[in-house]
Amino acid sequence: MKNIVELLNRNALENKNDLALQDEDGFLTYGELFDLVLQRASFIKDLGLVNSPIIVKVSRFKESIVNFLAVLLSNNHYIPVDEDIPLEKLNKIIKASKAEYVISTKEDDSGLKVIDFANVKNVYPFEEFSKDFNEKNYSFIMFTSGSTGDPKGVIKNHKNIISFVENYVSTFPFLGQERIANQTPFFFDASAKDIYLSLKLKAALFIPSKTRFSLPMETIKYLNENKITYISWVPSILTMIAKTRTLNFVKPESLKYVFFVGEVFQPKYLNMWIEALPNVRYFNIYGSTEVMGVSLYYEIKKHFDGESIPTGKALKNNNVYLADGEIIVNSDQVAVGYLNNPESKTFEYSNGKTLLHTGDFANYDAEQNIVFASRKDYQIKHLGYRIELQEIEASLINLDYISQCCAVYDENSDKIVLFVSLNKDIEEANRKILIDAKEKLQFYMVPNKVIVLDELPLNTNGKIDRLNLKRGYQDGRY
Amino acid sequence: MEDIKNKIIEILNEIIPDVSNETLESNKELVHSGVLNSFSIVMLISELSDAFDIEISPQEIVYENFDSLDGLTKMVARLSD
Repeated sequence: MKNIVELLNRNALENKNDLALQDEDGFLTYGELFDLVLQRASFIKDLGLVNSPIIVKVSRFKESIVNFLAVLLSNNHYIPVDEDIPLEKLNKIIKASKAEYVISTKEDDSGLKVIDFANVKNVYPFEEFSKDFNEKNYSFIMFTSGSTGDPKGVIKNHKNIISFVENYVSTFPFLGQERIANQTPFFFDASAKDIYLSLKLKAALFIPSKTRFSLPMETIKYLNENKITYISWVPSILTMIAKTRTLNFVKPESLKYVFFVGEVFQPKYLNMWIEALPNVRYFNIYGSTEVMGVSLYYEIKKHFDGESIPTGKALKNNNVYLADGEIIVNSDQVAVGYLNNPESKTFEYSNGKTLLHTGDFANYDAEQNIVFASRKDYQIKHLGYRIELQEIEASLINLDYISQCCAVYDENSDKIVLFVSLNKDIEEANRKILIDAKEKLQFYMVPNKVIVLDELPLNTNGKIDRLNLKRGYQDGRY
Repeated sequence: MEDIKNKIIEILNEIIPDVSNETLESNKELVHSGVLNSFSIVMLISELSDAFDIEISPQEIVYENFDSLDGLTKMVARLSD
């Protein structure tokens, strides 16, 4: 296999009438999905694009996945972004990627050339594309939070995706033609697992609307109505369902596998799931944007008594170990590298292999499981999203009325707290800062609380005293 | 009833400070429109439980009660009886 879309071709031949995608608007079988992808890829081909980046604005509709696969089939690569991305951030991504084209379901104000599939003329056979497939070709570039304030592009190729799906199903051989409900948005790296695993398993991928996750009873109702068997969700959602004691009243009846990823899951909430649904299998999985999919996993088989759930052991064909406490990943799933930043020390290239220095520090437990301990920088996980606190600061310091700012994360309350000092008097400063922050930052990076101080405290190095501010917030001094 | 409503507005101002009181009082679809998301709903539930000394069971966490300020007010009034 040289291009992950070969799996779609296989499914369309072998399982033409099986359900492929279902969203709140309707469904597509594998046969229908293939036809649509072929039409759109043909249209892209007629534009003369090859090995080019194409920005795809995504929503929670099957359209997004059709567009991803069409870009891949046409031997181009996609850059997924939220359809509501602030223009300022989008412009940075356009500049970094030199993308000229966008596929958008909404009116587009980016100034890019819009690919509009309304008038597809030619449809080429699959072979017309497959003759140029190459596993080294880029598949997608995922932009993630960067500490300088500019988003960082992580490049993946087809080999990364192909290795991931193969390693995943050989690690979890019990997975079959599952009914998978997606939760992580398609502009977020974790969602790629759902999409490509579905192709590999010939599974049906369900895309519930965002509001299905707002009310826990609605979430469970959705799982039951669609007989969902597999979920790979961020712990925030699973925590909310547990915390509200929803599982005491209604249970997901068809669910067989719960994978959780992206952030720490507090054992007490996982235990509530295990008690309510003892026959479900639970897996903690560990990855990062710099790896396609995940590279570590840990199965929790019964009530968990420890303090933190291990990230566990390496997936098949992954070599994961600790060097000076840092998690290092060596496998074909490790991304190609950062866009425009070949000097980064995160990726180490030696003997034709790429080692990933994750920046995550960990220990081994008695059973040789890797257990995550801390980050080496100010990267946090909030609602499952990866955020550099410095990116928040770098974006907001540009507001002309702010003289100092510092973002801290309070794990106890799951809140991003922004401390600021102002250079002029502003009415309702807290509210104004939050409104301005929404213009500049994606929703999950917007601080949950703003605290205005006359001046921010400095440490002995003359830098803003982050630790003091965080402790001060936690013990109620601020 | 008015007391309850004002207290709820106060709590919402804490949790979603960027949302104006006009928006809240217009009784727009708070959940459907995304003004309240899963994260803010969990905070709201815990704040309401503390402030009014009530227990909000999962069956109460439905659109009817959370989609508008009126719905929230009625639910709290009923549960505090």
